[in-house]
Amino acid sequence: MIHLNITKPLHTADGTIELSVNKEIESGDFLTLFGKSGSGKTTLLRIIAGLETPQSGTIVVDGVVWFDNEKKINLPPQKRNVGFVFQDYALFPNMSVRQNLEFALKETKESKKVDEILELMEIQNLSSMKSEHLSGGQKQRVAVARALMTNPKILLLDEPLSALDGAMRLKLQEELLAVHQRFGLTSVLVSHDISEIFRLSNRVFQISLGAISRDASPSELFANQNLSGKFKVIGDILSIQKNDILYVVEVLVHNEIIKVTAVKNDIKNLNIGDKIMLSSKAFNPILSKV
Amino acid sequence: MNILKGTIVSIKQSESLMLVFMDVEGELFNSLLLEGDKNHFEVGMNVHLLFKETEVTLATTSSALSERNAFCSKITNIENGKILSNITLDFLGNDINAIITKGALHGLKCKVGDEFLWVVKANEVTLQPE
Repeated sequence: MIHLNITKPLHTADGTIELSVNKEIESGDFLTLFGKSGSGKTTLLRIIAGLETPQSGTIVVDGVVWFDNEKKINLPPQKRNVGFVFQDYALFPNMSVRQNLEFALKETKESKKVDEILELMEIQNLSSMKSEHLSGGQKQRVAVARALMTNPKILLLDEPLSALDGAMRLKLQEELLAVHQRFGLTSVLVSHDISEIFRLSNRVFQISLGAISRDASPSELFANQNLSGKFKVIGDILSIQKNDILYVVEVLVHNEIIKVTAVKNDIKNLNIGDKIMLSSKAFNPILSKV
Repeated sequence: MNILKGTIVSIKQSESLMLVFMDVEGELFNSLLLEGDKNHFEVGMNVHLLFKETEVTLATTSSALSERNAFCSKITNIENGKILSNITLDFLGNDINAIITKGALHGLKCKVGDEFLWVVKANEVTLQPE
């Protein structure tokens, strides 16, 4: 459990605002921080990591005080047991993958640990390559591997996949989720991608102007309607075609196209490219073994 | 989508299956739901009842049906396509649209001004808290 109760002034393009957060993050949560640029998401992540210092307040993780302004406690990043994955990977370009991972170790000569993580992330074959020669997806996999080297309890992910294309993104989302579950992590993600948030997280803090304006599950937050449907997915509208007196709406969900019928009134406010929720009751879908 | 406003008057539950009864303009509606532990429906709550036009069927007023969501209404409009027809009925001031095949429409000899039963199965009714 992470108890966060902190404030810090933020200097943004729109002037100075105060980042003020008083929340608890449960162990095992996969939390997303969602909000406009400059709202304080990355700063909050960096505060948890110890890369920035709050002006006031406390951070307590599983009963251990990481930060207490009054008691002058401020654990340095390396004592906080967090893994951090950045959008730009932040690897040493002229070091090999193995050297990048070894660099993250507190003690040298833990080559067994390096092998274990290389295997887990399925990047053994890259181990001697220099990281500057890797593709974006490979780099991010190495960055995740490096974040895991110190056995963190908390994984902080600052838009880790936003530079990757669709298919690679999906693959790495699955890997992140697997890592989160396998290591029993508490993960905090900054993301703007609603489908990614749905796939990965169980809880979302919406941050605006430094304050958490909503704390909800992804479906509560984005669907914005508590439908009693049982089958819910988020997709993008690809096309809307009139067909007899109905309209056929093609929706891209993950990488599959789903066709749904609608009537004129349903599509009144829908445009190609819009993100929509598809829902159906538990009684409609038919199961057949493949 | 057909949308009606109602108030939950009673809930019957069998493990995660829920049968929710609603008062809509003085008529009783049923919705069958599969809910987890965190269900958010309770008696007295105002809800929207949502159901697709293609889930609404028509019957003559003297038909006997297993479905209790069956209400007598006057047809106010008929729009024909090539194989489908959209029939609009006036349900106590609310438009209900039913999309059935054109052949079925001819079989029933529906025309504007006639009274028909319109029917929607309880498991096709989605509820949305207001």
